[in-house]
Amino acid sequence: MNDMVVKIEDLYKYFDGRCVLNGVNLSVPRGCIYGLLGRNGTGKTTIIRILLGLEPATRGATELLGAESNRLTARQRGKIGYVAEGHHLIQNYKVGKLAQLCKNLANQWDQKFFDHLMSTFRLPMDRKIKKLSAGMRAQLNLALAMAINPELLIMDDPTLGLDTIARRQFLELAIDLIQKEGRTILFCSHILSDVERIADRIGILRAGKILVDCSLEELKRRIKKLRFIFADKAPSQLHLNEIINQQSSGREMILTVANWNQQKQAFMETFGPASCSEIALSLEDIFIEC
Amino acid sequence: MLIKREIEALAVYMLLPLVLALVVIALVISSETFARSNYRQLGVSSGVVLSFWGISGFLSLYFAGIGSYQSYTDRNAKVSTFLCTLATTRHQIFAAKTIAAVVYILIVLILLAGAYVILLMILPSRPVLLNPSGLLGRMIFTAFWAHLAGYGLGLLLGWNQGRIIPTFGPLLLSIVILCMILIKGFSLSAGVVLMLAAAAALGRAWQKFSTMPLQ
Repeated sequence: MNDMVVKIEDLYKYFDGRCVLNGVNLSVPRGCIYGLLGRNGTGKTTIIRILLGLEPATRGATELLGAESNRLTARQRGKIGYVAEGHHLIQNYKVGKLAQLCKNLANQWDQKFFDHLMSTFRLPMDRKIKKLSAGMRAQLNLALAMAINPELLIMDDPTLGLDTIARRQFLELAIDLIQKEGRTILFCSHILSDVERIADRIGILRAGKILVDCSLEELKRRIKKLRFIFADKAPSQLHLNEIINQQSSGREMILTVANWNQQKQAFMETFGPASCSEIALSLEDIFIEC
Repeated sequence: MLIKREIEALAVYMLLPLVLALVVIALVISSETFARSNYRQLGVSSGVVLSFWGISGFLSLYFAGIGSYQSYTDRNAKVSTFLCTLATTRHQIFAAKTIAAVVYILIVLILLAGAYVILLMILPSRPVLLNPSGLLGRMIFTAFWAHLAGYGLGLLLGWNQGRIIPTFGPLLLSIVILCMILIKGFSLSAGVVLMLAAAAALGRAWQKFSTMPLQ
């Protein structure tokens, strides 16, 4: 049985001749919280929009819940919750009217959970969407997406505009959702501490390609940042594979390297370093290094 | 549910043609009453009938404007983008828009036809001029397709970037439609041509809406 909830194969996207996605391959298994990272303009939102069928791909195939993105039926769409960047809801609707619309269109609707979220977020039902703050719109968008009890929740920078408490509530909700059997979350965020907290698999986009696609533990295991102190001057050039970053200053060399192993360690020892110590890396450090 | 949403969304813009249709009915009745009491039946009636045709023509332009405005605001307010992320498809959203427009066109035409029928009933001589062999049926048939073609063209042009094409495009194309009605009259052949124009405009609008990126 194919248990990949999200599948992207050889995806290309050009905007006015500019390549934004350059052969992206990505799979998200059922029950996974996948954090998609990348700097501004690397194509995270474009990937999500193509997955949801809002944007056509230039080339390649994308699937959600086993169906082609541009052929998703209403029923299949009803199993996908989406929290959009900027939270563009229907601006001239009141909160209550929008909730009613979403409820009437949904395959299933958990009114009790929705009411709970509305009271947790303290969202007024009688206020127009355009009168809500960005943070309130984000919370409403999240509540609407969660109330349909989605099999797959896709979130594009969902915590943007949320204060610290609301962000914490959001993360707890995401964890609650994932604890329900078989739920999957795909999200991108610029707040890497959030990603580190809930994601169990990470993808890093750079120059339109997936540079890293592995579990968080594996990522931390694979990428090492080492400080070497040499007796004399640090070597200026190293002929070593998979160096991510290298900085030398006097006797000190800071080296960030992928897939650190015994061979690489033996190679470094040929330069006779006086000491070698590992610098702990957070996800944010890894992201910046990459 | 989507159809209800579209009908509600269009309701404000439909007030004008509905009020206009009601004004025509009131005008017909009052002018005929006046004409009967003053023994000047045909003079007043002809004026009313002329304004009746004028309103029908104006409505084609109006529906084109509504179609254009609807897609222009839809694109800017990202309404369809939001709806597409719920349990709906683009085809359903487009079908709901079209059905809502058809409902309003029919309401307006029924009201106008009602005014026309009242006119025929009130006039004691019931002149042949006002209903030569099924004119009412042909008029409704032609006007329906003219209004729907106008709406389809409006929808199609409203998705263009910028403001000039969404604003003036439907106006120009609706004038072409109106010129055709003026030349050919409310005839069956004019109705068929307009039906084809409406099908082409709506078909192209549907194709465009189904494939274009929703921002």
